[in-house]
Amino acid sequence: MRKRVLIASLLIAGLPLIAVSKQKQKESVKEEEVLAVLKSGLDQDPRFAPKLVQDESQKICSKYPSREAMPAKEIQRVMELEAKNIKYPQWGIYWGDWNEGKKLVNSSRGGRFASYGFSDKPTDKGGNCYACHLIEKGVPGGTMGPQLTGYGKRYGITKENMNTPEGLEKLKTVYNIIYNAWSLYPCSSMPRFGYHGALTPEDIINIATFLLHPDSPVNK
Amino acid sequence: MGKKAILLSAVLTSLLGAGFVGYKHAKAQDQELSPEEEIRLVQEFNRMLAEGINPGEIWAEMGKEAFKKYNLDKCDFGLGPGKIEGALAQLPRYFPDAKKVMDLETRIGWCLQQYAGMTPDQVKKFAKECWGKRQCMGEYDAIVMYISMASNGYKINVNLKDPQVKKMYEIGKRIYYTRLGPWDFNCATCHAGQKEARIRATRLWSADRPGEAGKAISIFPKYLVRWSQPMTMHYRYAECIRQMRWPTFEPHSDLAVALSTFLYATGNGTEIKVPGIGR
Amino acid sequence: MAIGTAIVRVPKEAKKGEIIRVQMVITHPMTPPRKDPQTGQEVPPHNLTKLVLLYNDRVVSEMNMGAGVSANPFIALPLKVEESGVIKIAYEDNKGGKWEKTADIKVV
Repeated sequence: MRKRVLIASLLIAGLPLIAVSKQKQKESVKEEEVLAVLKSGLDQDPRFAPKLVQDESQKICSKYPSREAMPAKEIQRVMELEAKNIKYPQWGIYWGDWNEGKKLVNSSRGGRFASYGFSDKPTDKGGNCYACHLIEKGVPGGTMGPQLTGYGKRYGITKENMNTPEGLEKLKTVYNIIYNAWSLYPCSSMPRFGYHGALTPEDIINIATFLLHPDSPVNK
Repeated sequence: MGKKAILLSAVLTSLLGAGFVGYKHAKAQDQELSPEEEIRLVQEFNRMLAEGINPGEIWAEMGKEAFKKYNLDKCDFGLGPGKIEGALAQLPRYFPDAKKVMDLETRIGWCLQQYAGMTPDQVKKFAKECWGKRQCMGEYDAIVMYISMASNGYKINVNLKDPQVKKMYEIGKRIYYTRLGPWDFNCATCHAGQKEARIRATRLWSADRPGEAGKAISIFPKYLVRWSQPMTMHYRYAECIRQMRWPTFEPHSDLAVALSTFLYATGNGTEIKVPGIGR
Repeated sequence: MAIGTAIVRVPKEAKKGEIIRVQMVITHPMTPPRKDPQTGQEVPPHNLTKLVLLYNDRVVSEMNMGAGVSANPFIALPLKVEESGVIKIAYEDNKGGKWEKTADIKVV
C-alpha cells in the first residue's frame, strides 16, 4: 500500500515537470523557426552574415515587447552584460570639439546598404539623433526619446565646474549612455552606437560635448 | 524752447528707431517656424494631396493590359481563377497548390512562374524593376495596383482560424519584436507601444494602438510624390529594412509573408482604399 | 507603359449653367534642366508645355506650363456647362509629344 502511494505521488509530482518541459519544447522550436524565416528573407551574402547574429542581450530583449514587461532579473542581467561593453578613448574622458559633434548629430547617413541603390557610402557616419530627439531649439526632431534641449544647463554644468571631477563624471555618464544605452536603459530603442562601432569613442566624446558644453548651441 | 525741442525730438527719434529695430527682430523670429508649426504644415500638405485624382490610378489602367499579357487570368487568388474583386481583402491565406501561406505579391510571383514561364530569378528581377528609381512605369507595380484597386470598399478579413495562417501570424509577430543588426532595431522600435511618438516630422502608427496598423496598410500600393511612382508593400518592407541597417530584403520571401500576415491580420476590419498618396 | 497616359474626369450629369470641376491627371516625368549628379552631364528639360481644354470643339482654356510643374501633374479647372457634349483635353510637350483624351457630359 505504501509503495503504491509513493509511486502515485511521484507520478503526480512529475506531471508539472513534464508539462513545463513540453511547453519549453514548443517555445524553443518556435524561436529557431522564427530566426530561420527571418534570415531567409534577407540577403544571404556571407559579407552580411555577422549582422544576422544576435548577441545575448538582443536575445533577451527580443523575448519581451518592452522594458516594462521584463522581470527584474532579466533587466539586471542586461545591465550587467552591457556595463562590461564600454570602451573609453585612449586619453580618458575629456571635453572634445562640439562642432564635430554637431555634424555627427545632424547626419542621418551611415550603415544603410541596399542592393537596389539608395546606399550610404562606407565612409558615411552619423547618429541620426534628430530622428528621435529634440536637441537644438527650433530644429524639428522626433519625440521617441526624451528632449535634450538645454541638456548641459539642466545638468548644472557651467564654465566654472566643467573641469572638476564632478563635471567630468557627468560627461562620463552621458558618454556611457551614447556608447552603450543599454548599460543604463536595458532594451532601450536607442542603438548601442559605440558597442557596435557605428561611432568611435572620439566621435562620442564630441557628441557628448555638443550636448553638455556651456558654449554649445544646445545650451544657449 | 529750442534746446528742449531738440532734446524731445532726439528722444522721440531714438524711441522710434528702437521700435523699428524691435519690430524687424520680431518679424525675423516669426519667419522661424517652431517644430509644431512645421509639422502642422506637413500634415496640411498631405491633406491637400489627397484631393483630386491619384496618379496611381493610371498604373491600374496599365495593369489591366499587363494582367492579360502575363496570363494572370488563370491565377487563383483564393476566390477562383482570375477573380480579383475582393481578393486583396482575404489575403494572406493558405494555398494548397503551393502548400504555403502567401500574400498578394508572393502569389503574383508564384503565378508568374506557373503561367507566364518565368524562372524564380526572373520574377525577383521583375518585382524589383522599379526599386531605387523615379517615375518608373513598371508592369509589376501596375499589376499589383490593378489587383489591389479591385478590392476597394472591401474590409480586410484575414482568416486566423486556419492553423497555417495562424502559425505565420505568430511567426510574424515574433519577428516584429526580434532585435537584430548593428543598430539593435526591430519593427517594434518605431511601430509599437502606447505612447504617441514621431520620427522627425512624421507621426508613427503603432500595432498596439487599435486601428492604426489597418489605416496604414489599407492604402497600399501608395503613390509617392517624392518618387513619382507607386510603392508596393514589399518595397515598403525593403525600405524599412534598409533604414534599420539590416541586410537587403528579398521580395516574395517567407519573411514578407510573415510580416504581411501579422500586419493584415492586425488590420482586420479596415476598409481598403487603394491607392493612397503621400510624400 | 507610357508617358502621356491621361485620365480626365467630369461629373456624368450637370444642370444647365452649373460650374463643374474638370479633373485631369497625366503621367509625365517633368524633368527640369539640371546636371546629372553621377556623370556631370547636362540633362535637357523634358516637360509638358501646353494644356488646352476644349468644350464641344471650342477652346475654353489654355494653360502654359514649364518645368516647375510637378511630375504626373494633377490639374483641375472649373467649367460652366450649357449643353451636352464632349469635353476634350489636349497636351503638348517640348519634345513633340501630343496626347488627347475625351469625356462625355450630359446637361439637363
